[in-house]
Amino acid sequence: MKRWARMAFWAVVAGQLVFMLAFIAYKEVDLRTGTEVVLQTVPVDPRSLLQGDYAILDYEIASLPSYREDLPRGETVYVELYRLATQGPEVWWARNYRLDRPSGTQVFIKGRVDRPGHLDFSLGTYFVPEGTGHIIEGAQDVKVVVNVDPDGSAIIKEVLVDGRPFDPNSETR
Amino acid sequence: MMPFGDSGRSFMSRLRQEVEAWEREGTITAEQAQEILARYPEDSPDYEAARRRQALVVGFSILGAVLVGLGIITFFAANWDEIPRGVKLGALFAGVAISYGAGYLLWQRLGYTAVGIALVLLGSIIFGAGVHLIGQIYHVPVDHPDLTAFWFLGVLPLAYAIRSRPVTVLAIVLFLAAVGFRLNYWDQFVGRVDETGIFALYAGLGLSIYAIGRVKQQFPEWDPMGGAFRATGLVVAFAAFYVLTFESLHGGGETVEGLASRYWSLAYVAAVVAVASLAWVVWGQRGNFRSSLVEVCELAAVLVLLAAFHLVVQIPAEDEVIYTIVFNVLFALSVLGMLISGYLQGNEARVNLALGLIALFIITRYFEYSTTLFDLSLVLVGAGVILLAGGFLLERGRRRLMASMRAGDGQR
Repeated sequence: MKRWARMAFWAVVAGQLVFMLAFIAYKEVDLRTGTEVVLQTVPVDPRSLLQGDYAILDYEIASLPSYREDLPRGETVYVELYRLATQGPEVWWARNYRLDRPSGTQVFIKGRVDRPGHLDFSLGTYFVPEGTGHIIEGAQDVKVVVNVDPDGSAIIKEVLVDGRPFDPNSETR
Repeated sequence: MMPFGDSGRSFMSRLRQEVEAWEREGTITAEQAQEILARYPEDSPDYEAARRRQALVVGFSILGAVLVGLGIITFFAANWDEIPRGVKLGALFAGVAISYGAGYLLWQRLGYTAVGIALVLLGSIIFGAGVHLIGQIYHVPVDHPDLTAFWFLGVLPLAYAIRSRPVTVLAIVLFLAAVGFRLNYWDQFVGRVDETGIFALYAGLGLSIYAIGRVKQQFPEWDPMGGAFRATGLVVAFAAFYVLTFESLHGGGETVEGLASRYWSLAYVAAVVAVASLAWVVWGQRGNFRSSLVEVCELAAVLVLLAAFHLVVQIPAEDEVIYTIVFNVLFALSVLGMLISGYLQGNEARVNLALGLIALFIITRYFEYSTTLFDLSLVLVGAGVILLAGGFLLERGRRRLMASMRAGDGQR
């Protein structure tokens, strides 16, 4: 192997390792910053070939109100959130669905219209250990704790199954 | 650098390189160099034995790397809660580094080329497992289009750095998968593209990959990669093209809806790459009439096919008959062209692929259109006779060609 090819080989290997580190760092920053909100969900339970078992999560705030139902696919929508204290964790609900980005200290989450009357927040997948998806599927109440950054992008922190953090070793209550 | 995955030809090309180096260094004379090379003519039992042995080693090594890679992917996919996140990530980082390091050591320092490159391939697979594991840990949606694209972007430069066929094939497969995930993402958020549009796009992408392989063929040092481009490109193009010959795929509805600009950007880039690459190859062959005739026909065929793929998406017909006839005729002519060009260039693999496609085409059309066992018997016997006769004629022609080439060598 020529010298340049040897250097290119090791440069690519180093690049791959650095890329994985950067990917982790980027996600960790998302997880550790922003506002923590709790969202109400409705799950189902399929499987990914490359990544294993996961639950598909749908959110109550993902349904667009009647005045926004006609938005085209791909349209970005900013959902202003407010906290509602109930029993257990304080769930955040939608106050307003806007097409322009809210200003000030208002907490909001950014979504895109993926089908008529429905938003996608890139929070639809929660990976679980193999064979434990039924715990989420069979739960009475599933909430998701997410971190929302100032731009409205969100990342899943944890899932609350019937009020408690998801435990793959537990059975459905 | 020694190309990988070319079985006996690797042995010969390495031997030639070594002999040339020895001659340059003065270790052996020009006559001795010729004597050494004369010991291994390409039709000698020694060469054949070396080729078979090497092919077996390559096959085992690649299969082993793929199986270990799949095992690692499914192990992490199981997402065991007992293994802490840090340990999982550490194991993947270590797996990538060890696999590449051991591969490099075996390949470059100890001379175990096949096993060494197989470990480099394994490193590329573990890198992909790592990207997807990170996605799993942070719950990145499974259909997110970027994960496979990241994997592809990590593997492609490696393929170019080491010019390895298996790593090149992996990079091409990842590229095609990344396009698929992107189409799915567009389908979700931008607009719809139906099966006809998807298969027409993949057929065009296959042709562009093949054309890149033809350019690489003009440079001996890049040809090991070029072989992977040509083989994968042909398989993808003809697989997608084959699907387009089905009547049920045509007629009614809009093919591309809402995402026209993005779809066409991708399709036109593929078309320009394919045409420009083959035009460049034709230009390079302009002094050689026989070669350039094959290249010109190839370029013309690709232009016609790209035009057909464009039309079926741009102007979807309400009636399914027109495009069904067009694509069946074009498929038959293309396979015939592949057969003839493979024969003229002495490319056995291409001839075999063409014969296989002819058989597949005839059998498929029978099952699509015939309704009785009597029809089936006639079609199968007819197709079999055509293939047997074709095989006989090709074999006879090939023997004559080889004999005339040997006679020519003897006279010189």
